[in-house]
Amino acid sequence: MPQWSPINFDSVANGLWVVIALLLSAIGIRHGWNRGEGVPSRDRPAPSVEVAGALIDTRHTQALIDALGLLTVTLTEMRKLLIELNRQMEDRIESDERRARLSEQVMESLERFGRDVRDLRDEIGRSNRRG
Amino acid sequence: MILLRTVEGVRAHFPQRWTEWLMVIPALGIGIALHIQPHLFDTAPHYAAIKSWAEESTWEVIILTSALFRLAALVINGSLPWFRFTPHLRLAGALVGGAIWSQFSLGSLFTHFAIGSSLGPVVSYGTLALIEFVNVFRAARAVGAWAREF
Repeated sequence: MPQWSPINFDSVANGLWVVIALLLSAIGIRHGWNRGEGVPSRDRPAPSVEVAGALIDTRHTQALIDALGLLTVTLTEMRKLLIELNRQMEDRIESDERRARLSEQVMESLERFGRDVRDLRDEIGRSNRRG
Repeated sequence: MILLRTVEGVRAHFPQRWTEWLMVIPALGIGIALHIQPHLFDTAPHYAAIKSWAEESTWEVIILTSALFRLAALVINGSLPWFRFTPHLRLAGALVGGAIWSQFSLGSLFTHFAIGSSLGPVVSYGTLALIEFVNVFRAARAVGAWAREF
């Protein structure tokens, strides 16, 4: 450096470099503290990803995934309801069939009873005619 | 398995770390050049100020050591779960690299003013120093993110 200058440019330049480096470090650490490193990871996915040259907003993708998840849960619940409904219908059909069988049995019993009454009446009639 | 994870980690982070990878090249190159040519600073006048601060052998040790540490930090890059200080190594590497290239640039500038040597090295080494400033910011950001998590 020119000898006539009273300023020690060596120290000033080095001091300037140190100040800039420290400032950048401090600003960088603060930026990282507030917003993260900006490198996508599994825990902090990037706000957008490039797929086949197009930028896809991952928030929309995440919203779609959430909606699909909700739809899957809803469909599962509906399937369970349908299964329960089918079971109840089958129970009702079975109970109707049992009722029908019981009615048949009652009818048969009544017919047998009727036949027995008729036979008894005929027997009583025949006994009266003999007597 | 760990090799695959390391390679995958380097590949995944390369778009954000390519400037740090880039700066390993001139550091290794100058370090190897100083080793091959122990009197490198005598070959061009713009090295006069740099040589007055330290001999070639000292510069060689400083530059090669920082380059190798930096290379190790970039390769490890969070691939080893038990070692979580790669952001700090990256920041240290960027600061040391910035100091080295700043000194080379300033030394060339001072020599230019003193004996009229070429300004070319001022621009070249100054550009390397600027790139290192960017790396300082990025590595410091990683340190900030690490500090928040831990």
